[in-house]
Amino acid sequence: MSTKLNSTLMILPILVSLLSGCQSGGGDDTAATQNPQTDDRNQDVAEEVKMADIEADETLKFVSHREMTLVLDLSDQTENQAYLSVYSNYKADSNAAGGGWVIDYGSRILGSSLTTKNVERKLVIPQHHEKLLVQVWYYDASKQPLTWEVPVGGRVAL
Amino acid sequence: MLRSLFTLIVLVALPLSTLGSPFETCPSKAFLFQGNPVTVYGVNLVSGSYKPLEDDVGMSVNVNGVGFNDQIDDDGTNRRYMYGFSTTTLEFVRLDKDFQATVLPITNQPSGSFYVGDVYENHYYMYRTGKGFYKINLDPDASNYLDVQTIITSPSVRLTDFAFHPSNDKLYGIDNNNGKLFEFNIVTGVATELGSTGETGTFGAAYFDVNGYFYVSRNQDGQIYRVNLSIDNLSSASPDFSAVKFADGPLSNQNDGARCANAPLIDEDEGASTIDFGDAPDTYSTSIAGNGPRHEIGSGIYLGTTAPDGETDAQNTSDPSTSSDDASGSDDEDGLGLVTGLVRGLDNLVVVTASQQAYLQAWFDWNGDGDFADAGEHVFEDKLLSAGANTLVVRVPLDATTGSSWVRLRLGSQTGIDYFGGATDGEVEDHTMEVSDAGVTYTYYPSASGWTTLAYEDLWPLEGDYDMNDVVFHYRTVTVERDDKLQRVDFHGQLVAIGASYHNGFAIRVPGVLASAVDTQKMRFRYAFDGEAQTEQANPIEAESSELIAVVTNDVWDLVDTSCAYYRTSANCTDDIQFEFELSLPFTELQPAAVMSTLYDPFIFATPNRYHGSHFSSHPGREWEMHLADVAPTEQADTSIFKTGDDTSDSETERFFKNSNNLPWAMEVATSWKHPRTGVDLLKAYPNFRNHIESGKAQDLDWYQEANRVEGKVFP
Repeated sequence: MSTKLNSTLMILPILVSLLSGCQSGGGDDTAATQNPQTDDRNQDVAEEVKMADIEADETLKFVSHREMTLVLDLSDQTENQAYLSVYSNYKADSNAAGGGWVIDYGSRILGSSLTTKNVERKLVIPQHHEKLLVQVWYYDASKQPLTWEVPVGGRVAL
Repeated sequence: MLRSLFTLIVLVALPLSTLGSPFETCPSKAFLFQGNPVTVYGVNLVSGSYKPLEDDVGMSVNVNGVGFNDQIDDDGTNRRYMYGFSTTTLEFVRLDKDFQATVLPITNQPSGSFYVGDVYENHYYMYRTGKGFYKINLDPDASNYLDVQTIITSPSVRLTDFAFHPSNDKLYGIDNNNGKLFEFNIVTGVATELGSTGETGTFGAAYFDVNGYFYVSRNQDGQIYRVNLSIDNLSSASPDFSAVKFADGPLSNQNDGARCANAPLIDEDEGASTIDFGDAPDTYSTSIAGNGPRHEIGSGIYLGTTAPDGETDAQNTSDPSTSSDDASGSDDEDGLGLVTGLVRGLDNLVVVTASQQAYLQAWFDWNGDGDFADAGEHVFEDKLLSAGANTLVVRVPLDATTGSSWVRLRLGSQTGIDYFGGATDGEVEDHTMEVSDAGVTYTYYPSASGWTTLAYEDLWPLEGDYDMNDVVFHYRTVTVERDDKLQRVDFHGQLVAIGASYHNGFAIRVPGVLASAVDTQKMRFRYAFDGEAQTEQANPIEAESSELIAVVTNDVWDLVDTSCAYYRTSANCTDDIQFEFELSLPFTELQPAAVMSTLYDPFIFATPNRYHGSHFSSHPGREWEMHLADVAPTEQADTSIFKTGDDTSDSETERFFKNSNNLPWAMEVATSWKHPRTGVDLLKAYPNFRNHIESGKAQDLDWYQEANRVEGKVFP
């Protein structure tokens, strides 16, 4: 498809909605008389609680992440320069190199070049995660990384 | 009398009964004929792999000059046979779909042997340097059936094979002595020199694909070269006919090739592709047209822990960090861990995982110019990896360009492979990389390759039906900080659903940052549609606003193409996701820590000059904005809409976009969320959400996960 649709294509949704008689729960700029629906709304039973019936606390933001703070004390290490990573998807595997973890590197939440031994980082994590993997690598191929599995939430000191 | 009639029937029936069947399809594989007695190989031109198909054609001869007749007559008669010349017995032969040869008696046969031949529209054309250029009619109904006709005598071009173009009636071949490409007129026999291919040798096998690419296989080293003879290039004012190395195939001193030129190189009709491609932008040579890297899968050699799936071409993604060239939906790009980042001037460590011992090639685009061709970019060359995770050292040049770029890994049993071209086994993985200075931190939300979901209801300020699908985007943010200040922020998104016929735009504000703070020279804003290559877009920063607002689109309906009334909200209308964007906003000066955010402020607005409900007496346009709960509107918003309808927004108390029950019109759900179908109440699709809300978010934190949804109520 090209970047910009021509005006014919832009009005296509309207034309199709007129033809199909399908009405959106959202905005609908058609005035046509609608036929019975084929979607699932008719299956909703009147007495069941719907979203509109519930009341939320006024502080709720309807987002699904939570904050935590990660504190690292690396003062027993010789080098200042290191790299801190936090991952959300990984699994333990005693056969795996690099400390016995198989890591989905695409699940990285934090990648931080460290220049000091005392580190504090604020993280924002999807609320369904319960644990994270924290790893520190030094710029030395002969050295194994430091790895911790930590619970999500609050202040975690390592 | 009876006996002679019986004999006659036997004589007539016998040849018929022994006639082999024609090919049922126009196959995508190339056929290579080698040796005496001849063996027929199937060659995958994409990867260079080959395997014997038949070592007994029923005659103990060499067959050469073979061509495929892709002919179905008007009456439906299938004439898809291959034809060639037995150089051993000097006979003309036909091969059936089982590669069994039948001698066809030709008349007026010239003396000597023929090694060069091909077929076009029921005619076999054969050629011998210094001898002649001939054609034979293959139509049994023709008066001159199997009669050899001379086109010209004593042609001079030194050929060992030629092939018919799929889109014109011309033959093409390369002169073995000087590497020049010639075009042959099949009526006059005149050979026209088109230019140099830059390669010489005995090109004993020549093939075309349906797109007009010409492939030649060199006997001496088995290398397969490709020449672009597409109609576009042939008709270009300055055509480029250079032969580029395409793959490594079999070598032989007696080679001939045939292929059904009307077949695509990878044919989806023949089943799932067995070829793995990369997914970097095509400037890196990625697609099949760009001679991108390709590996035949199934050998057991691959990067990471997941075997790659097959694709019919590269999947250039607008969303580099996903690196997901996957056709199956499972991300198989899992072989590279940039565990120390890539910090300039340091010996960085990378972890490369190999399924078994094999050779690694790796290229890093250090200067960020969109190719892997510069000096120092081929970082690992024939590096033997062991099975499992390998920790390797990569020195990032001091003069490397900081920011986003690409890395390409290729693993396989072959050595010497380049960043382009075919390989018979293994895998290619393209990944984005970030080159930085020391002290830089990247924060990904929800993760480097994951998505969160933004779901909007667009009836505001009137209460909607809470199916939360009027506008749905996948969304990801990348915050780049240095010295605890904001250096750059990136946004990635996919348009997931449109469940309304109102027209809405989508924009992102970076609260607290001025529009003028953006380094517009380094800014990047790209669209990608339906797996096509990314396209650069005009500057999205809203000129009318002093605060930083990037308008991703003025109308989400401009970004999709569907035959349904709505986009991806009904189980009957399962379009694929079609649109992705990538927006990178670097700042000329570091911005204060306070402006760093998780989501920043993604919001929808009414498309200008479009109806947006009877609540408004005129089209509200850009001034109609709708944000996540308690996010203040931008300076463009018309706040006189507040407290109308069901809205209870109040600027004084910083209460925004909520109704009297404190329910919002927009939500963020921290996963690739499956939104409810049209008209399905959120609680019907996700029953645990009620307790989550009523417990003040203390319980059912995973209300949106797969285990907690009602499958029949969400978009599949």
